[in-house]
Amino acid sequence: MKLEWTLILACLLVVGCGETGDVDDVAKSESPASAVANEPVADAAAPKKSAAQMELESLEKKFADARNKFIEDYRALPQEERAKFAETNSPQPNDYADDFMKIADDHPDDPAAFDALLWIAQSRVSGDQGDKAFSLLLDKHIDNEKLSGVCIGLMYSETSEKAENRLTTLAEKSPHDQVKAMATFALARYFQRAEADESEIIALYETLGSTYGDLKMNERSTQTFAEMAKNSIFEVKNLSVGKVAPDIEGEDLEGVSFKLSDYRGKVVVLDFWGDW
Amino acid sequence: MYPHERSLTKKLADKPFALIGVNSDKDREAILAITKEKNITWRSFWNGPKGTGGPISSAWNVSAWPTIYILDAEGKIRYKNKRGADMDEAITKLLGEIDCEVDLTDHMGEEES
Repeated sequence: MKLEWTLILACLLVVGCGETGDVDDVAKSESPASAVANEPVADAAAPKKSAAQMELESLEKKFADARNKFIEDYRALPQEERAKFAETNSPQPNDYADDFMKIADDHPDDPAAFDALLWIAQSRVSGDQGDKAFSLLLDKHIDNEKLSGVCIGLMYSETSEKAENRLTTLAEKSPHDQVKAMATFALARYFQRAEADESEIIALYETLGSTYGDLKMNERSTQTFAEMAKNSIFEVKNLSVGKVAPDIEGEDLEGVSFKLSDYRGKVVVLDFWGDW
Repeated sequence: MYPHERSLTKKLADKPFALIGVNSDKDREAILAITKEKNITWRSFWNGPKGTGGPISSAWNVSAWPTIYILDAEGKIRYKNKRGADMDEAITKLLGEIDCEVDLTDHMGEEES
């Protein structure tokens, strides 16, 4: 449990970092310089934000504040109380979805509408609001490059036709290679999790490697999509359920050499772990 | 994770079962000290000084931690990423296939979590 919550927290923090920019923007809009922009004599250098954008930023800040407060309280608790606290106290994007959707509904032609829908989709809101956000995004905003941001969430979603159809639409209809590549990769991994037909999964990775091989998932990625596709094809061919596990030869923590195959004849739980 | 794993290895100590780790901490001395301190008794491969970028996790295309594979007695991969009660159920089934009946329901009761 400890590691799982650590991962969830890590995810929250990554999202958190992504949103500090927005928080800064809100702060800036309240600074004296921007306040001047709201005076009758407009400052041409600072484009005025639309009402919808202001509303969106304040809503994003509200959620970010709730989450930061949660993380602070979580960290203050002793280790053994954390999991239970997180279960009942972590802020749920679902509870904010109606407010985000209202911005998209009230201002459909403002750029804030797309961002509000993207927030709902990226936060993996479930139910009607999640469905509605996805249909609007794929229907009206398919040419937006920022849609690459919804692919990873879909990759990890419950296996359902919905996620599959959404990723297929992104891979086929987006005009941007980066979005197509992300969607193709996510679709392949999604099929792997769903234990779909091996040849179908390999075909997707081959498309990824040959068509989008030079691209990367993001600037922090150490591997290109070509390398990821190659490793993933090895995984599908050798590490799927039903395959004999490839042997591992290495040293234990004390420096003694051993092999995974030394344990043939026993049921083995192989656990890739770290104490972090 | 640790209390569940500790309880499992204790409960299945005399059974044809092994929990094998692949540890991806960069500092081998430090993690060795931690295994002593936290009573992590099962054996682990060390993934090397590159940590999560080490050779074993790269060969196995591991991108999330923890990642768990459950192998049967013939070395075949039978389950992935089963944890807690699901892991117990998988182990019980695979041990049953080699005529080793075990009852892992509520084995955590014997271990403080």
